[in-house]
Amino acid sequence: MAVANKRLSDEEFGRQREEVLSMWHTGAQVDFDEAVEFNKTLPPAKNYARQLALAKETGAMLTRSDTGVPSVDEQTEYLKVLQEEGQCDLFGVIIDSLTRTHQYQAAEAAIEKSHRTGEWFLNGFPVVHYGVATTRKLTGAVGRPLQIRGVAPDWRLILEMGLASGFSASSGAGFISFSQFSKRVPLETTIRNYQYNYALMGRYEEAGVPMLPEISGGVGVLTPNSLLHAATVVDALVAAEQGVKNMSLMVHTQGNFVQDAAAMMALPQVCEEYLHQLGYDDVTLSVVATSWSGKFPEDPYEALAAICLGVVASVVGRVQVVHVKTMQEAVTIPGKEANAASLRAGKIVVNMVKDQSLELDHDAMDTEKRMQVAETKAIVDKVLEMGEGDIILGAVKATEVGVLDQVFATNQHVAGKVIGVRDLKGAVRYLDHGSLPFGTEILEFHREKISERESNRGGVVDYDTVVQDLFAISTGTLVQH
Amino acid sequence: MSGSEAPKGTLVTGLIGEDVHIAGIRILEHALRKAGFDVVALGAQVSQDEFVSAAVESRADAILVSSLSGHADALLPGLREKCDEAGLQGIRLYLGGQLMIGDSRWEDVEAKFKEAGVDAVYPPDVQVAQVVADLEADFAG
Repeated sequence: MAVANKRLSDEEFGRQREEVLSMWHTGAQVDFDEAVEFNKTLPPAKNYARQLALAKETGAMLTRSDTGVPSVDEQTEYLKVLQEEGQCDLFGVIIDSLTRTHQYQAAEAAIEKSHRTGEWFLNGFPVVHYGVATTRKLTGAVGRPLQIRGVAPDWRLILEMGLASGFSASSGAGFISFSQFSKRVPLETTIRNYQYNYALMGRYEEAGVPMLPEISGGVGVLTPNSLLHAATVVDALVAAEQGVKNMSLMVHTQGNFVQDAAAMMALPQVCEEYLHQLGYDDVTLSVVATSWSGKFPEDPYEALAAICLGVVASVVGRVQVVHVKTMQEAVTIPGKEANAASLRAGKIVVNMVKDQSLELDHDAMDTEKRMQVAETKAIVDKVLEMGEGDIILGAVKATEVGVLDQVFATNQHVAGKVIGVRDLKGAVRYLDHGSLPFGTEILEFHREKISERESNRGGVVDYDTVVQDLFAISTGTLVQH
Repeated sequence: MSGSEAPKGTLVTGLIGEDVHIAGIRILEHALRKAGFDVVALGAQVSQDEFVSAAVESRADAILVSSLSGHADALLPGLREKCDEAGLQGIRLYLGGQLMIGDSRWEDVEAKFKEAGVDAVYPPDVQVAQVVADLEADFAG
């Protein structure tokens, strides 16, 4: 049956819920009413959506860091170090990849082996294995909001477990889990699973506990912003229909200040417009920016510099959250000290810059914003048209023909006809727009920006330039002329 | 591609094994399409059997295997034999990426894979334009 953008009925939600909670034995520990009561005992300072709404009101910018280790004690210690030594405002806990792919038995075997050998094998926190009571001990150890992190086509049991255990936000979204985190799964399947996730959050909301999805449109590597914005809007509309009232939208900083800051402003603006247009008037949007999304330099101090510059762009873009990566990003899975140090560096940048009204080149900023909004609207309008007003039916059709597309998708159902390249100032432009429904103004804008780089270097910008651009910053400069 | 000209050849591309490092092969696919080839892109995590059956179905002229896991020496051998069994005698095999772990000499790496039946082997720093030019030369006329 075709998946349409309709609120799941209580019957349908209940039917799926039974199936989801029986995927692994710990699912039986999840009791919705009890979980709502538990969440209500937590202070507002621990609720993700409430803290983001407050940040939006006061103009504050919060820092976030992600960690994920399989031992409860070590994960607890890790979060405490980030809270105390890193002054971290929001925590992400990454779920291990066995749990993400429903290999609960294998995760359990790995943990049993750890108990025997004293060595740990999983690449994240296996929330489903530990279940509600144990995970509540973890979330109870820190005083700030927590988000479960990771992306997978079927995130339903992880979300159930997380929200019942003191997490109040979650990453992942229907489109990105299809395009970048699966190979054969059709979009209908991931969207259907995410309808459930959003419906669960919506039901918590209705019961008085706001829960927040953090929506990312794709992987922000050499990817024109409007491609990511359009996919983000799709998921935002799906989430709104299921009753989600607080959403955080992700922007991936890619190195050009004006473009990055413009993306942080254009995305909530265009998303708000569509929410309003389709009758969802009571949704609070916030923006989270990642600090540098490309390949990192191996040298930790160079990496830290790249992170800090992304933090400045985030202040200029007036986001509510900056996700601070770590200075060891290029070489290893980071240790807690390096993680805390990176957070402190990020925080000092925020504190130095936040009260200054940094103004970038006004005209360039306006143009950049206007073009991103126009491009996003061209795509989303076409998607809605193809779905006769239904964003999901439209998204499925649009993906088939490359109207919704991604640059480096892993899923074979994504057209993958689009490719990006940097212009003379390092902003990411469409080298090939594939089948995106763009008019001449948009195409000429991108063509002109690319030709400026060609004139400067005295040669064409081609696929070898794209390869060079993928290594930007990691090899020392943003743009190789 | 320029208008209605016949394609220069049909190529099957993909990452062999559990590999998901997709950026390199994606860029190459763009370049090959632009140059006038038909590209059947299998994407990430492709098994030998998938390469072979896609080549049979699409009547491909060549298979381009990308491998960045450093395990190509375990993943590649046998592909030539599978092609032969499927009736794809003489289909051209191209291989590129981060093929082996450690500091093996490139000459040794290249020889090893040529022995396994690969027609052309490329190091990780090969230029996209070079690969396209080679394929054009191989399929000229």
